[in-house]
Amino acid sequence: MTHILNFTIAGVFSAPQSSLTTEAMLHIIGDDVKLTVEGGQTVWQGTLKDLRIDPPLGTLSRKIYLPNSYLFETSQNDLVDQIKANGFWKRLVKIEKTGWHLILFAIITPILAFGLYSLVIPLFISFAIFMTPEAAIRLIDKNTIKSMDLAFMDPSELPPERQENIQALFSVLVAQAESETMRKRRMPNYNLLFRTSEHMGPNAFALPGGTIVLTDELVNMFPEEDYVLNAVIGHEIGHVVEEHSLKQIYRALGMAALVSLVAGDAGPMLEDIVLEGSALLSLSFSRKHEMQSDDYSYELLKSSGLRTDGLVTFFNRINEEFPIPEAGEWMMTHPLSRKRVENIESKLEADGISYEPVSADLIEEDLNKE
Amino acid sequence: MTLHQFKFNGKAGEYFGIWIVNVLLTIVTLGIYGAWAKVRDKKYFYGQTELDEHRFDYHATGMQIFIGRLIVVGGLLVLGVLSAISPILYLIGILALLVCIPWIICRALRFNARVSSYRNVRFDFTGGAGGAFLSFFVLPIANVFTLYLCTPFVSRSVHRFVTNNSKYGDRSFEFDSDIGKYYTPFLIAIAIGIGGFIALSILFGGAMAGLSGAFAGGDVDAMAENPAFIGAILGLYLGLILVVVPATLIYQAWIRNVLFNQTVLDERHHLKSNVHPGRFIWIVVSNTLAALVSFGLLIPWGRVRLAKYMASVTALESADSLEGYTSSVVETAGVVSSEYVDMEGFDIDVGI
Repeated sequence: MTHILNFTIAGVFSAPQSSLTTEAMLHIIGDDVKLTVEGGQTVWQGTLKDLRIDPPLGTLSRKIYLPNSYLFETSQNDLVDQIKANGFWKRLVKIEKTGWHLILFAIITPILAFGLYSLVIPLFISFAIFMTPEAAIRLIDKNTIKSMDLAFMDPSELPPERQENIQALFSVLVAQAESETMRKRRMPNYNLLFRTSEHMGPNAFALPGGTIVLTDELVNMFPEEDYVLNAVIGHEIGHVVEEHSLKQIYRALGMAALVSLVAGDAGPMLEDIVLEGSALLSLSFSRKHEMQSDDYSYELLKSSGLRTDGLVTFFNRINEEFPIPEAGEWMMTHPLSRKRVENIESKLEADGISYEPVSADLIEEDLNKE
Repeated sequence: MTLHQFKFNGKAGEYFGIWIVNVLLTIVTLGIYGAWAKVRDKKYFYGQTELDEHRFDYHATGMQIFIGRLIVVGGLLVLGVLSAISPILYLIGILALLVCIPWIICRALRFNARVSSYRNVRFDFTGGAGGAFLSFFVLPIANVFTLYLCTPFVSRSVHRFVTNNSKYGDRSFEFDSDIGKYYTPFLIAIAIGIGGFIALSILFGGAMAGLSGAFAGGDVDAMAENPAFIGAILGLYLGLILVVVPATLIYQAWIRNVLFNQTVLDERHHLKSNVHPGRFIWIVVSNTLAALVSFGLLIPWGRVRLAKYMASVTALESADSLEGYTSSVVETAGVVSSEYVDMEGFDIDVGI
């Protein structure tokens, strides 16, 4: 110790759990501490070690707890700060004080927050996917199919020959996909199922473990065009290979944690808006995945030596029978069909493959009708 | 009778420093500092709230909150592992958690009460899981089947449960109210909601109707690419926010008045609240806009502004001096439950 402490702090004193306060003085001489009330009567005597000093916070008056929860409160904050050597909280309260450095903090905090979002979230997703046991993924597949069967899916009514025919297409694509992803730690357990449902219409989806479902309605839309079914299956295999569903699950978890940590107590209304915003962000994530799977499907068909314009035909047929709004993409899970068609068409053109450009005619026809 | 006015002495500039350092350290420590940040935040708001020349205080320690959070995260991890091992064990785990939630709510309310003090006397909460089950489970679920028309009954039940089980030292709070006081603001909020909706339909409905001709013709693509249609949809969406948010805030403001004005401490101290719904909406909405355009940097200013307003419309009317209350509350258990409720986003705040 460089110098001997010797000073007196004025404040108020109260008994444990009592709201009655008495004016009091805290005398500090070296290591010895003495609390006196009016008239100089000593109420308590001890050493510095007996004191528990509440960390400083802004300009709030300081609280010093004596043994047995006796409390001494003072607004002579500077004197309290002299009692103990510089600790973490004393340094912190200096940093928190208004000053030019806060402007620097105001600039780097959003940058760091963005860094946390764009670096740590993907890291967390990769780590979580790595940690997810294969058994858990299989279980997700099994239980999802089970509950969907229970809720709204019915067994397929496709003739067995047709099913076998499509299973054959499926195994060709799976074999090619597996030969390309040999290096992966986890091999999906690919499995094609047929279902029908009043609520799903022509549809196809993939689960993380490799289960892929085609609806009868979709298969029946393309009775002759196996190359279209190939493209759809390729797209779903893309979702499995790129682990899209797991990525979306873990991203939602990570975002929820991040938002509650950083913007936790933002106040009424703002919290809701932040959550809405992160929901919209996750939709854009989902749209990115759809495009990725389209790309994957194209490359898979190409490397398998199969016809690659299936998705173009698919979207044109779907748009004819089920027109979907072509705007308001920001509130959808899937990108606009037009954009997806354009994406595939540009690949076809790059590879010098001719295709039926029906889509442009369709749009023009619509405009002419106006 | 003396009227003691609540006062919030916090300053936006001072709080900004505390807040930005909290956020910065929380990010740098990947969330660990968040527990200590929470304590500093709460301590600042409690410590700057003044009644009869004395301040409130918040006594939880960062370590308590941190351990609570660790236990929550550990528990969720165990559930995750269970889900991978056996679906039956997982189901049992989820069911056990559901059964425990009313108990967890009580523990959280008790923890928060016990770490809060005014004039060196702690608050306490003595409610049991049965009451929590009724107020937070049975009634809200039943309310869904009445198309939310019984929301005032749910609000009153929560207010009764929380207030009548709250204590300041060894003195009890008492609250009761006839249901009419809740239905008046509820019906006004609904009327504003319906009125706003009709106004919106007139404003944007014209644009929609003009375009629905195209829709009837099945020409969806043409309609969907029309900017007027997109504008109408966006306007409707924004409009819904502009109607639903004010209606909710009006209801919240009014029932806070009902809660406070019907609450008596120790049969002699009467709480008073006079939140003006229009002013409350203005503050909340302008705070939100300020926070959005400033990338969050005006959040501290908004929070101080709201706290100042809420304190300025809150008072305690008492027959005699506020001196001389003693407390029998010393221990502080239940930090785990408090953090669980915090992380799961349960809204059990009834607010000062």
